[in-house]
Amino acid sequence: MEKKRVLFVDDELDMRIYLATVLRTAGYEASGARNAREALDQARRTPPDLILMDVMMPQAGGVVLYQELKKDPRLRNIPVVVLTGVGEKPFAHHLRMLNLRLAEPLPPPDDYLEKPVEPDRLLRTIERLLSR
Amino acid sequence: MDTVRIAPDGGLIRDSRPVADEPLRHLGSRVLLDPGFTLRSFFRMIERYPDFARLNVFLPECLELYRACPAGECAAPGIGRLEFYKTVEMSGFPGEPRLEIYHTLCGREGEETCEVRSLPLEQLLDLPLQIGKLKHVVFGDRVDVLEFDTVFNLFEFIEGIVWQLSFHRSPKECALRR
Amino acid sequence: MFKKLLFATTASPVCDNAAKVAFDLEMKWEAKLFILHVLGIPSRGFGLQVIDVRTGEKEQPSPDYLEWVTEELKTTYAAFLEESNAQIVTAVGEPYREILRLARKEDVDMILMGAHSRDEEVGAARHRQVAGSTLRRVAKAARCPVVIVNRPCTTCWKLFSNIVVGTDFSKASESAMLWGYKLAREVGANLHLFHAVDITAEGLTRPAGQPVLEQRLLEARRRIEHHLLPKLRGYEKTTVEVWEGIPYVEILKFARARQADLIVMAHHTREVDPEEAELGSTVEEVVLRSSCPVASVNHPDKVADLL
Repeated sequence: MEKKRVLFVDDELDMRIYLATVLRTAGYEASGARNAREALDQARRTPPDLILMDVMMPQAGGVVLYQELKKDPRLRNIPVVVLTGVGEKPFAHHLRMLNLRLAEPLPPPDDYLEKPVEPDRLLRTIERLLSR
Repeated sequence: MDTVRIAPDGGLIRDSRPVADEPLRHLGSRVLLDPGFTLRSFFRMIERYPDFARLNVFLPECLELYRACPAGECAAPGIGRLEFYKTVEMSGFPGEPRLEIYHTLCGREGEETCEVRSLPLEQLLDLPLQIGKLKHVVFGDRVDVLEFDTVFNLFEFIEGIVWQLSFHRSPKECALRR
Repeated sequence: MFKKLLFATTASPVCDNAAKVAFDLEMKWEAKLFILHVLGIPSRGFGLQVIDVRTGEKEQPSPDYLEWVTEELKTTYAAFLEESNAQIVTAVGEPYREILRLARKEDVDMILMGAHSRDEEVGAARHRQVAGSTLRRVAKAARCPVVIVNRPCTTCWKLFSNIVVGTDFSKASESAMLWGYKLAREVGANLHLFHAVDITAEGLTRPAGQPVLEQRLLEARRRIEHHLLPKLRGYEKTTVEVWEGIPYVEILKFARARQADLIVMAHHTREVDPEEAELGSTVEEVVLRSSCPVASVNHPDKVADLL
């Protein structure tokens, strides 16, 4: 069975190592990006099956990346799981605030996970989204 | 209503009348800056109303630096104006979600923003100073933020600028050459 | 002295300023530089088992994650590493413990760290702690000074030529002074001893306090001249200043006036057992605004020969 490809994006080294470890041990082909730019380059080169994305990255961070992903016809249907350090309600609030000024509102991500990320929950979420 | 203006000469104006004394009672009022207001105007205001100098431990030193600056032409090239704005930002892990509210003084050239932390007072004093908006930083994204009009009070204005200036210590910061 | 340096990094761009100082010191002093990243454990740790999605079997992660960390560090510091012989070290565990462990094992002369882990605007720093918990715990327990780099260095091409040492006459600040002296002597720097009579104490700001203040200023100067200066064995590039004010405000002002490229301070101000003391607020306030690195000295080990 071919390995599914998961692309993860996080500016923190430790988080990237952690995600890589969990994903690869579970049998995914995992690759990491340090920022939005790297993530887009990688995704365009080799579209992944799922994207795991930290949302609070410095400078052009999660928002820019998410918008670019949804704008690109080759990438917009890839499931995106957002890693957030602020919990569900604040996250949804942020998304609403964000959508206020966008001509085309962003759809909500396919799921979100709160940091720190529990490996089992992470893997169950990915499995569920990939089997849709 | 409950608004105080500051003129370019540093004078406070309330209900179209100059404020002669008791400046502290206006600290809670909304502050508006008259056209022509510069960072130098800010220091003129502090000199006019010495009570303000007690608001922050760094103000006396800032005043000393100001007095040592030339009387004019203290403006860095490439910066059109200074802007004082408020930011509301949510922060989370590690730690519980919280909202941070803070003030910043930055340089603006057109729509571009630049930090002024590394610039000495000699390069900032005669730049026009304006009050900006409230930035709602979403997802830590500083490139594309939500902006709203809001109210700044005189205390926030004075204190926020001095907080910023207390970081302007040394002249040049080098680009490391290896 | 200064033959072994330990640069503890999170590998984020925020550590870049500290990285520049570390690599520069390595070159200037021909020192051995260790670059350490401690892989923190975000969740349950690496003793976990995960289910392989292809086989359904439980798997243990293999430890090549440490090799990945090394690779990442090499990428992050690629430009510096071209001209460096630094040794990259990785570890898993609680960051402060691993930093202290390596420092002790290698008996390093100095630990270099960035002040915080997220880059942010000046205003955002207002109600946060300046020093993160890792830095605090390292500064408290390290047997050698911890040099905290917060801003881009101002005079890195002549590290160091003006060293400011703040003293409050505590034991820790005596260690700080001796360390500053050792360093100054080694590199031929000017050593500026500084004491601020704290005017927020005991009503010294009131007019009636003026004579008391004058007295305090005189006493401080006398103490420095009679008790501290002799320990500097006639180092001729020493100056002494005593000012009045709020200590952290005055030391920053003084450092600017002397164009300091290093400020050396005691880790804490009161006479407390070094094992118990927390990083003082004066150090924090100085670290926050200083445009040069700040060395926090807590233990006398590195200056035992001078005590």
